[in-house]
Amino acid sequence: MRRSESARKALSWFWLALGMLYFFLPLVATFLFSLKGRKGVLSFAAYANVLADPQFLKTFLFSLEMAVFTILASLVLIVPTAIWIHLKLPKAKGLMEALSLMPFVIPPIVLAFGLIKTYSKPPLVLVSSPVLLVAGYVIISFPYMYRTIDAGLRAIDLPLLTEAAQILGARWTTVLFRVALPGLRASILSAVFLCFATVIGELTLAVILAWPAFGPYMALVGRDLAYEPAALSIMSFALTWGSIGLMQFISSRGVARRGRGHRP
Amino acid sequence: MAFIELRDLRKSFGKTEVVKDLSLEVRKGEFLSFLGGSGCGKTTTLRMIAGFETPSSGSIFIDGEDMENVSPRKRRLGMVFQNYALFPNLDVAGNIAFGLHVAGAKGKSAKKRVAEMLELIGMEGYAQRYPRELSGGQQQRVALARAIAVEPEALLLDEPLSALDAKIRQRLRDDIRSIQKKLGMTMIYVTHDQEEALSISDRVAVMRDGRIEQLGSPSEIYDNPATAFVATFIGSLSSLCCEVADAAAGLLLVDGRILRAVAPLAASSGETLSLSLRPESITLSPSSADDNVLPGEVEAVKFLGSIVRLVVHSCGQAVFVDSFNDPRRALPEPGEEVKLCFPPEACHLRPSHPAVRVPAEEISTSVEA
Amino acid sequence: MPRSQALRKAGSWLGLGPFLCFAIAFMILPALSILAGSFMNKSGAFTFANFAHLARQNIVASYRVTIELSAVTAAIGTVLGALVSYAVVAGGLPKGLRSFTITFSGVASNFAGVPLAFAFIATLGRVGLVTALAKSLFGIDLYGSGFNLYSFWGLSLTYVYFQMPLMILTIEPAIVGLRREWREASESLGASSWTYWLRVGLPILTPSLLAAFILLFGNAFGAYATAYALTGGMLNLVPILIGAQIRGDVLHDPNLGYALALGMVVIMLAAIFLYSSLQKLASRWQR
Repeated sequence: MRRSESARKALSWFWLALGMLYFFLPLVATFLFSLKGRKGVLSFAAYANVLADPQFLKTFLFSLEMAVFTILASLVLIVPTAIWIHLKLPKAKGLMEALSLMPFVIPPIVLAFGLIKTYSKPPLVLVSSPVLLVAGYVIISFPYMYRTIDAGLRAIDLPLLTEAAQILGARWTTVLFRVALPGLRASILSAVFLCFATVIGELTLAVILAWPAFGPYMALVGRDLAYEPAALSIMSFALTWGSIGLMQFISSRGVARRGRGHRP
Repeated sequence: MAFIELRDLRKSFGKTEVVKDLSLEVRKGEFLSFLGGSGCGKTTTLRMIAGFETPSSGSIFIDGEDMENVSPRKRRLGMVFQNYALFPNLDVAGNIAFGLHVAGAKGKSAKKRVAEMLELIGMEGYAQRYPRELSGGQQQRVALARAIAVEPEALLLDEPLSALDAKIRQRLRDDIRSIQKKLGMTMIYVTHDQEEALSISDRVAVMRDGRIEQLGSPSEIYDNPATAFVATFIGSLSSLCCEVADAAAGLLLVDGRILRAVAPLAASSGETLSLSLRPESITLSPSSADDNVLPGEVEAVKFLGSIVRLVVHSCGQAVFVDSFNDPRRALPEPGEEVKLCFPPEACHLRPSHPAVRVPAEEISTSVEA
Repeated sequence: MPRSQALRKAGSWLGLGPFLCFAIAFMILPALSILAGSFMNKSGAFTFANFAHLARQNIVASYRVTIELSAVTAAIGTVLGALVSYAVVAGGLPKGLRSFTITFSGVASNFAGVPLAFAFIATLGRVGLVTALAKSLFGIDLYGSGFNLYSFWGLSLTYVYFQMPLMILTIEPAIVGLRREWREASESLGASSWTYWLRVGLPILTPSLLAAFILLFGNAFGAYATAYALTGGMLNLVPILIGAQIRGDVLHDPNLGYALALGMVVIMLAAIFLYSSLQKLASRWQR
């Protein structure tokens, strides 16, 4: 190998190593920190404490429930709409692109504010209903869900397949259930995992709308205890890694593309 | 003395050996083409000459100097890529002047050279245009000018016309050849298009599977293919099975008939050989007393524009017969009985492998202008 | 027949109905109500007073700090992320590293908010691992020499943790689009690596780099969770300030909050507009 090539490689290794160090050092530190639950010994005591805390289970289950509702609502709203646009209304793609940029323009903190303002006065008092939280979550995860589904639809070229199916005599129900949805399976699974990871760890909406979700619980723990937060952090990271890892694994099998990470 | 010499070049990517033991000498000022299908190693060889790939073993000499530790920057070779590779952020003048600026040429002399180049490629007035505003053919011209502007020792072209339309391809290849002749520049050209290689090269190296099957002038390659691969790769060919009746007199036995090839034959009597005939060497009526004659039945008539190709069934094989489209003559009909006439010189003989019959290979003669 | 065609066209748009209703109800309407609220005072009358309040010193300071934070973390994230992305995509490293880095970046850019804050407390907090190691191994007293995780720079370091992976993901397509042939053409014309980057590579990448920078800027500007979890409201950031207005701070003034929120939306809109324009420019060059 020539000198310039090996010099380039060495530099690449350097930057990658630096990047990896930046990523892994906090994780390692947190893990080690979380093992300090009991004085003087390395143990999983902090994890045990967390798991034993009734609030942990309660808030986690709550967030899990919210995640399920969010996923269902998102899928019901977004998948048919995306398919409709691809098949019947390509002109609306620009509108959808613009809409999917809106949650970036309206960050969760502002969205929470707006939701409270709009829905705290009669006749639409939703502030005390979890529906508002789920709606907020759907809006937050909408850009990534839509992009994932859209990429999946583009990859299978739905209009083309639909024409082919129709020439062969298929009705629109057949097209939907035997062409569109199977082709989207990988994308939908990706979107589901992304949505799940987003909702479980979400803090802003949950705190502002005052719900006993997992995010606020973690914040509370952080305020009072020392080592338990580290344990929670590792567990949360493992959960996110697991979800997204699964998502990557499935999309590498299917035709889906990944969405981007969510905002802090 | 050879200007560019490749000695026992080998290149492997992982376990796959892409170039196997390749040796070649390129003369100064010549136009040499590497011709072959995809995967034959021609592009890899070119990239090794350029310095973008390092040979696994073997050496490359340019003007007597070993290129082993010389980076592409220092080799003074120009390169033209298949997808033009023009710098999108620079206009035409900026692209052409790039190498000049790198070499430290100052404003005025660089500008003059750019103007010269634009004139050479026939694109005066395009200096301020950007690559995205140009057609494929125009971009490739600019790429050519960019490479030539720095007066390289030799120019390497990697399938420069593959991405272009047929008509543009023809024009541009003639332009490349005339520029080469005008400047007396050594050019090494890689292509999979045999018509391209044959029409503009001084010599052609037909490659297969990492090796050079034959190196010679276009007419040598076409008229005297050295191997079965070259024979079938270049042009179209019909092959008949024959037996040597009399090696000294050059007599062959085909389907019970005696045919005459050019004597003496480099084979022994009784040996089975493969007789190959080019479509254009066969006529439907004898042009001299020496001609061989075989009977046949017309299977199909293909009108290819300037050429009419007949597929004639003879001696149990399909034989292609090409003739120029003559409006005065009527075309034969399928089913008609015809005579296939060809001189002894048209007979190309090759050892035949009984297990492998060389089928009649039809390669479309590029009559689409 | 134009009439039936027009009817069919209208019908197509109806298909978007459910989603549009949802988006309007839970995104557009809240946004509009904020817009409206910023022009009203506590009794509901029209006023510009809220915007006048934005000129208050502590609010201006808050915007300044937030802009600084966003710009700094976006800049660091852009540079580091671009270098890492280039290293794995075009730097001659084993191919497996690229997909690993991309996957990991997908995870890391999600790892924000409370867990991230905890992670950095465990790393660079007063009794964090790196703090302790610095003392025991190198004899450096981080906190003694003025470092504090719960400060501007501490928060910046934390933000970079999700900014860098976002950059890696965002710039990857642009680096893939940086054709190998451009570099080779440049080399064959005698240019060194430096010359190539200076005259070809960086100019081509610049629109994408700028676009990504702006994306990162917006990302940091709107961030609430991490800042809240790490500094608990100590650092005077605009999102924190907005949160305080909602949650009944001492100086609780929702109308001011609306004005603040509107200000934030305007900045984000500008960011998105710049981002889209730069992306369009970049794609024009990449053909």
